[in-house]
Amino acid sequence: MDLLLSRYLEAVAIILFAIGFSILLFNRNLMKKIMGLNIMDTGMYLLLASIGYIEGLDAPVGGPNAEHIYTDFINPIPAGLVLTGIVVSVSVTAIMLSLTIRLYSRYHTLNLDEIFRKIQKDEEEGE
Amino acid sequence: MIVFKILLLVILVICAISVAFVKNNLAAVVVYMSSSCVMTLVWILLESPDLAITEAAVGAGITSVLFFITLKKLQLIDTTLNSINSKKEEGESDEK
Amino acid sequence: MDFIINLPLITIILGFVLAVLTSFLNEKISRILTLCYEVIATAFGIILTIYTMDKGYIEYQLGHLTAPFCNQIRFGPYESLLATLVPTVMFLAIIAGKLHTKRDIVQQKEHSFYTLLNLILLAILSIIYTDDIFTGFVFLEILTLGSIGITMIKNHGRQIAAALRYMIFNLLGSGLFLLGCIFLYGETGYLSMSYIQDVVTDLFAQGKGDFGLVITFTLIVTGLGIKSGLFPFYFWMGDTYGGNTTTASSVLSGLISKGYIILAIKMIYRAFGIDNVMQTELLNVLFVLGACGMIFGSVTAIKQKVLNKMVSYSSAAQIGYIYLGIGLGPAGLIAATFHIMTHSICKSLLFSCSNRLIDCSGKKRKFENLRGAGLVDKVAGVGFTVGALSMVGCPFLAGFVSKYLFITNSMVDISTPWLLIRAIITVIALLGSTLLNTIYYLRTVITIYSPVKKNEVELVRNKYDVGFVVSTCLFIALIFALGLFPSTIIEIIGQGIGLLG
Repeated sequence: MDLLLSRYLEAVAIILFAIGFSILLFNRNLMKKIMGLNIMDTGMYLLLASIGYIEGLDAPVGGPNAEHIYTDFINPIPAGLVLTGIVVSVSVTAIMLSLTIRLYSRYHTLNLDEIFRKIQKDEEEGE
Repeated sequence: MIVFKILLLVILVICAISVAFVKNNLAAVVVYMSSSCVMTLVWILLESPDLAITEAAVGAGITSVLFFITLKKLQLIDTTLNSINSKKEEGESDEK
Repeated sequence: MDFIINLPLITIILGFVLAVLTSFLNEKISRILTLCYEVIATAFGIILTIYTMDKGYIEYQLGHLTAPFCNQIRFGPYESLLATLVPTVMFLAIIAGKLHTKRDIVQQKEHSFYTLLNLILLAILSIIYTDDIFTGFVFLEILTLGSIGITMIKNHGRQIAAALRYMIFNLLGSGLFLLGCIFLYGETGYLSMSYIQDVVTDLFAQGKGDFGLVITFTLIVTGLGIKSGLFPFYFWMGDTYGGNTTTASSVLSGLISKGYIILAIKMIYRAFGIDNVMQTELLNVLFVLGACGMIFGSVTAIKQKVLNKMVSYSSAAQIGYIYLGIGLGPAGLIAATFHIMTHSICKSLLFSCSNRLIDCSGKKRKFENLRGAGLVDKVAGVGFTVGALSMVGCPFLAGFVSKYLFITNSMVDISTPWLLIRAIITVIALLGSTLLNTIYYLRTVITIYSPVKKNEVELVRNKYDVGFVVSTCLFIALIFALGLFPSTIIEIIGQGIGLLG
């Protein structure tokens, strides 16, 4: 319990990951699934940034006349990884939304169960 | 400062849970956008200004705009004031 | 150093340039450029394989700084051999499916199809060559996006729903993989695979490896397993691989799932170190899941009434074979790699032939409508027969050699009781799966060759397609070559695995 309270950042990150994962897997509405995916990714970026964060040190930005002593700054590598991850997440969201638009224009519902039911019905009529 | 940080993280978790339980699509997107804004503040408190700028531009900006454009194309948002209530009911029964 | 060590990077950059070019050129030039790119990539792969058999593995840094501060590519005979296989299969898949691509995809969007294929090839090559876990993640996501694009390019309602279900599982797998990579970076502090392996070995030697690192291994391998179709997660395969155009099905089932498996192999052997992984129970779990996948995939395939879905579910069984091989350790990896090569070639051949046979029967896909199709379209019939026999394990064909390798390599070390039981389970699972494969493949072969009576459905004669005939002949030649002269390939794989860790 002590460990959980002292590392609250990682705990919240994993909670967000779990919430996002379960929304992506269990919710039947397509828009909510995409939002769940984004929440899951947000949790992971929080976890990644908490690896690099050191209490009391500064952001890794230096002015033009400053001396760059590397022990004054937090670890900048995880910040780069988070940026890459955010960009990947945006592309994936864009593709999922375009899939949703296509599915809605064909089946007129956002509910995944109903879509599969309609597909079954089409298939039985067609074959 | 620490109290502020913990408060922001608690708000983040509450927003994430409420995205799953809100029934209207438009309201869910607004809640998601607000969680993105809270995330921006968290990045600043974690001493990463580049991440804060990126999250503000991408999360609260581009992704939410993409969601709104999708909802508009699916015609699940109605812009006339009169039929907001009736559209809300239609939006609820649509994804049940 | 010679100029040859620049070849992998040149291949990847050429892929990027072509992906940009094909996004605005028209489809004829795009197709020619893509085919040229694949021929060049195959040629480079052969040159690199011969070169690295002499010189051992080569580490090539991308920038002015050395390894832990800068990205790096590492290749030996194993990676070069796989980098030869992938463009070959894609080349043959494109020319086999040219007619169907023209028919199924809207004219204005056909050039985007070639953009996606270039991106997929480039992503798989980068995954094969990479030495850095986060680069692996980025190209994994590019591969995911490319595969989603290919799945939904046919604008049919059922396909889009299948693409959605496939995408959800893919994203779950990506999420788990990224979580594992984050934990790995947090525990070791490095992103480069050789350095990670040193720290992991130290942690295991001090006895601190038990909890955190085991969870990390599990997350990474589970994520990649979900994406490639390991045992409980294979039920999306029927719709996704089944209803697509020829080239898309061949590339999806033959190449993309193999890309994920190759990344899993690299993580186990390069990032964790095989000695460390053997101290945990990870490989035994993969072995058991692979064995279950072999049986249950075949059972699901038997129950199918539609030809395309049957071929897709048999992919699930074959992926079970590969995971069984990985679970057997370094000896089994030789068999698993040979089976990767066999399965890519055979599955692409099966998909292209079965789509032509379905054309024959007027686009109806159920078995009773395919009766006698092999007599009308002779090349497709012969191709399907050879592919089916190879999957079953007929001698002189490639499938026989891979099954033989599985059995002999599982019996290399039977000192303890668990290893003996493992060898027995391998033999039983292989025999059972071969029996089940025989049931559904030979049933299909008999159906397509049985003569049609006068009052049944009429069959249409197909248009003659040079590309299809050439690609079928080359596929059959490759299957026979792998079946009759496998010793060179096995030697290259063995030497490559030694240099892999």
